[in-house]
Amino acid sequence: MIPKTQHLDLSLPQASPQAPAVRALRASVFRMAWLRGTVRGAGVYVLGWGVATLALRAWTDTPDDGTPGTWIWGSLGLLGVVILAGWRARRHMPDVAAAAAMLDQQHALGGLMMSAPAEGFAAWSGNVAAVQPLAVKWRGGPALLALLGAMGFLAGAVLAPMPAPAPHAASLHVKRQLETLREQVAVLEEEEVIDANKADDLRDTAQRVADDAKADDPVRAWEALDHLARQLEDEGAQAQEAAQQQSIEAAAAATLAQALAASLNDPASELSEAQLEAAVDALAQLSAAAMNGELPAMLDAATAEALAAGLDANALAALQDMMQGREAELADLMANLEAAGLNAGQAQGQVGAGEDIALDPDALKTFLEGQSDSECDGATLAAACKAGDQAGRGGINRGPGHMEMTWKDPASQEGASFDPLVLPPSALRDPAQSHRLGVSQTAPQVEHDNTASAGGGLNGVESAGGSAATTTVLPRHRGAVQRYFERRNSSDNVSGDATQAP
Amino acid sequence: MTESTPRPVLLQPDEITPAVKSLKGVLAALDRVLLGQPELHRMVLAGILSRGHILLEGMPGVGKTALIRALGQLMSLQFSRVQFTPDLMPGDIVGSPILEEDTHGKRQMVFKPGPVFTNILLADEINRASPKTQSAMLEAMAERHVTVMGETRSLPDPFFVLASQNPIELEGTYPLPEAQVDRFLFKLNVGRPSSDTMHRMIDGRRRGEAPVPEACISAQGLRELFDVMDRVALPPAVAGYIARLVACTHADEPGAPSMVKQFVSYGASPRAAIGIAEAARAVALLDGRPTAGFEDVKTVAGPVLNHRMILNYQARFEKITAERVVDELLETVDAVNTAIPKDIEVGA
Repeated sequence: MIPKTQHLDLSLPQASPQAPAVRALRASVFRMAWLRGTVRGAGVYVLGWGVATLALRAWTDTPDDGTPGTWIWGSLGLLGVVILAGWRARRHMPDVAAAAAMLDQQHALGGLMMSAPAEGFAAWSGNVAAVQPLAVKWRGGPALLALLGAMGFLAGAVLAPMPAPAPHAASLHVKRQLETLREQVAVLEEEEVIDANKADDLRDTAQRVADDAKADDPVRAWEALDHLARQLEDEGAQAQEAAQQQSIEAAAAATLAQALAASLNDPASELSEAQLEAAVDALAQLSAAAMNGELPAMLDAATAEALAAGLDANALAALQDMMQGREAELADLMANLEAAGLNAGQAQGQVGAGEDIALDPDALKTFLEGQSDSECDGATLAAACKAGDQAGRGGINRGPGHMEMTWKDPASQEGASFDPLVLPPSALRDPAQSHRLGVSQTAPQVEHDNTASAGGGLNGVESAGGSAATTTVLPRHRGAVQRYFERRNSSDNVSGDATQAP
Repeated sequence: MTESTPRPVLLQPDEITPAVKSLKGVLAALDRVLLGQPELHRMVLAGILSRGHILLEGMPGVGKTALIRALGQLMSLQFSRVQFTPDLMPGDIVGSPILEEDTHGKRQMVFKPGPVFTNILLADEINRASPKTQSAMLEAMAERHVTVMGETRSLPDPFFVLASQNPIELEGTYPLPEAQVDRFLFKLNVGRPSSDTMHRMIDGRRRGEAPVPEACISAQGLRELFDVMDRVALPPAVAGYIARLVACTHADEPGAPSMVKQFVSYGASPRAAIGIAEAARAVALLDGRPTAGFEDVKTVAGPVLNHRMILNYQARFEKITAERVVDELLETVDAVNTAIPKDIEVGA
């Protein structure tokens, strides 16, 4: 019969000699686990306390947190942590059997400590009588450091002075800019550059920007105001450009009228019918352009024909006065825009009046009389009247200017001259001095005895032998080479023709 | 209705003392026969007390056969020795029926028992036999009886197999199958003796012949020792430690140490846990204690586990031995399973 393994009931009797050691071990483990749980839990709690305090102070704009209520409630929470740690420490405490096993293991008692409840243990009790309680240690350095850090954080969160709450953002002072914008809008509206609706929209926009302008975000307000200012300046620049153009056209019309009147009054001058029609046509175009598309009453279609049939000096004088008046209006307009600061992109006084650039009436009269009937038309004459002999305004679409090139601060040759250096004569004859003796009909003969270059620009060219270059012309280069020789041929032909001409 | 557990009764000193005296005598005699191997003798005796089979592994000439022969002589047990060779057949071990003629001229088949019918079987160089012959030992070792020609015959009681194998000269050997290795309680490495031991050996012995030991324990005395050992108590905490220790030899066990997870393909079987428990109680008895403790488990864990864990190829490449894995197990697995946090240390 195989005997059964003996099982031991390890519920240690209170009166057993090992009971004190077991109880002491359990108590030590419980205390250490309690301390461990308290330190760890307190570390987390104090950290949370500090975070909550800091957040509360920042949220409620409380400069200091010296209220005793906070400390009382916080301490009560800490007490709860301690109680909770004690409750959890009971779970870590070994039971009686495990404690006896630990004592047995540490003291190498060979299972006797665990067999104390068994019958017949008394005979062996002497082996375990001198069992000492075990030392219980906790490696709690990191947890203690964390707790100290959390306490320091809490102290900082409670005691650190909080900055005073920031004042509410004040309004930005944009009154002066707003007034300027309003004045510019009024000028543009008065000069009929913009209509009333658009002017109202601009005023509303400016007012809204001024209302929303806050001191805590000045960049946004300034950017909005600058945008409005640029928009108004663009409108003013466009109006000024149009006025300047119309002024030139009015001056040209006045000059042409004056030239026509002078021609009528000059008995020696006889304008042909074609010349008259072209002059009247040009006068009508220039006047219409100067009057912003509204043809003067004296130059409507019927009147123009009558005028062409028999030009009236009075009418021409009236037209001249009208154009001069228009020119004065436009000058006032440009002056007003400039006074309002709406001359963006134009230097002040850069653009002259129309009369400053108009042709001289006598020169125009002479030019008109010199026109042949076949080449004379209104558009050409109007362009000639507007162009004058002044310099062009440049620009990529208007051709080069006719201004003379001027040199300022002429450079000195001192220190810039080079010492002449005589170079040795070239070993090779200048190819330009060579003479073409003939053109072969076949490919040049290549002498294979000579070594040809194997790379670079002289690839395939042999070092000696005097034969023609045999560099391979790639297909993509053949067109360029062909054009080069065609050009040489054509120039040769031209020069040949010139020499053959008498 | 619950079955009431009778209160255990510990062995008393006057019961243990004679047993321990006998065992000390055997150990002393073994120490006289084979010099310089006291720990080996102690483990062999623990294996005998645990009624387990023992596999001795060591270089030729270190005294494996002499040890086993002396053990048989000391215990007055029947002893047989089989030199395993590749041409050894199962019938050569378990026996076979032969045709005999009695005095009346009548012929009949009579079973001729093989060398396995003994108390102590010395299987010398067991890994040189073919797998067929090795497997013939399985039934005998596990169930202590053999079946020949459909007839089952019980082996003498007690029955031990003390096998030896040579770790070198692997050519022409057949590694023992895991099933058979698992049937050995211990695998003990017989190391070479120290120079002092060899000096004593050649100085005090003519041709190195060991003195012939006198029988210390009879078969009846051995049975009484078994009875005493059966009463050695195994505390539940120690049993739990054994269970966790064996479970952690498996890589898929959650608490297994990293070395096990990395290098062990198959862990130890429940038979290993049983073997550790029995061997721990035997060691406790050798120490004269009525209970087995944690240190007893640590003493026998290596010999019980090192041949039961199958290491993977990575362990072979990195020259990781089973002994190192067992050492890692003993260091990693807590003897007492408690809920005490890891950062709280309990020490003397």
